[in-house]
Amino acid sequence: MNLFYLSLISSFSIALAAGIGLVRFTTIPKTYRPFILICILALVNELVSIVMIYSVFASNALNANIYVLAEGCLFVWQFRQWGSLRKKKWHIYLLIGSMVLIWVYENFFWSHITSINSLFRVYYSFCLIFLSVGQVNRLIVEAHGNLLKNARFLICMGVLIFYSYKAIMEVFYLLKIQFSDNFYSNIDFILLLVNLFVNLIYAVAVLWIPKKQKFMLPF
Amino acid sequence: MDTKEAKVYVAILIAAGVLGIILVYFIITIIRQQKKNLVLHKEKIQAEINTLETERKRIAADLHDDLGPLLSAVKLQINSLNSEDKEDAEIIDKSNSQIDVILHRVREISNDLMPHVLLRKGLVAAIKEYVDDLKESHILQVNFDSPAIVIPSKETEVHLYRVVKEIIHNTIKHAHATLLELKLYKENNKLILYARDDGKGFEYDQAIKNSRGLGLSNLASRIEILKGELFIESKPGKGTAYTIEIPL
Ligand SMILES: Nc1ncnc2c1ncn2[C@@H]1O[C@H](COP(=O)(O)OP(=O)(O)O)[C@@H](O)[C@H]1O
Ligand SMILES: [Mg+2]
Repeated sequence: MNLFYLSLISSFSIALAAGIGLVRFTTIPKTYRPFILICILALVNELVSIVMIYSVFASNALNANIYVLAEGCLFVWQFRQWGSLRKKKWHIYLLIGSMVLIWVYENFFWSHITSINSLFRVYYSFCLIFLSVGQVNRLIVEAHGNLLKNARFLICMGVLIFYSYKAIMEVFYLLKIQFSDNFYSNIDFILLLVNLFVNLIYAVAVLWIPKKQKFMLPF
Repeated sequence: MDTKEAKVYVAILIAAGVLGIILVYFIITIIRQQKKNLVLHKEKIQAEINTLETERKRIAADLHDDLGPLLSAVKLQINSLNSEDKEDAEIIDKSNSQIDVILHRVREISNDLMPHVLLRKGLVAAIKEYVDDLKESHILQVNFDSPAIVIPSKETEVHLYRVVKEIIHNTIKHAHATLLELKLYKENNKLILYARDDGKGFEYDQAIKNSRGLGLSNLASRIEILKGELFIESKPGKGTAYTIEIPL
């Protein structure tokens, strides 16, 4: 398949989760809203990217850089809604603070906001991976039903899979190794496939979000 | 790509594959571990609650069946005394009424431990009786509404009765409500218990964190034993709604 079409399909596959999320937005518990917002924002970002690429900028770097920061913060908010980062107040401040600091440093001092910057992407990928492993640990103890039908578990798995690959692949950009464009597009190919797969998981997860807050006690 | 790049790319592909395998393995072990946990947990609470219920039943039976007749016998014996002495007659009278009080209390306690109506006439009748008692005491107005339902097992009935009682207790103790609406009905092969009060409501996470009580966790355990689901909707100032769905 043509790489261009694959990248279109992969990018816009988030529309599925975003669409389902939008329809269900008011009927699901508030604790899942940040994730729905992430899906919608991701879709908006893809649309803006297309506009940007065909505009004078000829690149989606600007909106993508802003998008990753927003996505990172929304994910942190989402994990907090699920009970992560609640033991000590300063944990969340430290996390958000370090994320913003690295983002500002990278985009305004180290590099430029109009080029794709990888340091922040690697950093927030790691943060999200740790947060989602923490959640999964909680779920082993707290979840009472089938994990494969548990929206929280599916989302965590999606995060874990996607950001593991993303963190690794971003390293190639981070180190600015002199490879051919062809090489880099091959690397992107892997990430596109992973992205497509994870977006489908997200869509299923959004579908499985319970209507009402199910009562769960830690045991 | 030149040959060197191609080699690097193959290395990356292998690394991606290895990462994939690790992730898949990780996910599978987690799912299996969680299943194991679930089974262990269910066995544990099942055992706990079974012990609790059998003990209660035993104590209730002992109180009712052993103490009751004994006390009645004592009463009979005292009544058979006939004393000319006025003071003695007064003491006999007093003992008589005290024994009546004790008998009444014994029945009450035994009934509290294991309601006879529940065993004899079933869940709906037992809840009705409990609600009527409350009505008389003017603590809380409970509107209980239920068609006649057949509940498959006594065990289920006992669990549901305790659940209803805990909900009512919580409403009295925490909600400061004037009205509790209670419904029990069948829908799509499910038994649904619905309770809604007009009280002060509570913040879900806060209550779980702050509560030292075992009420809700006991309630959740019983529902888990019945393979049911429990939903609690509550907001400060907006009352509390419990929905319990038990598959039949
Ligand atoms: N109907 C209700 N209205 C208001 N608050 C409630 C209600 N039910 C439960 N709660 C809250 O949930 C907490 C946990 O209840 P529970 O586990 O039964 O413990 P306990 O009743 O012993 O405090 C209570 O402390 C109370 O704050
Ligand atoms: Mg209680």
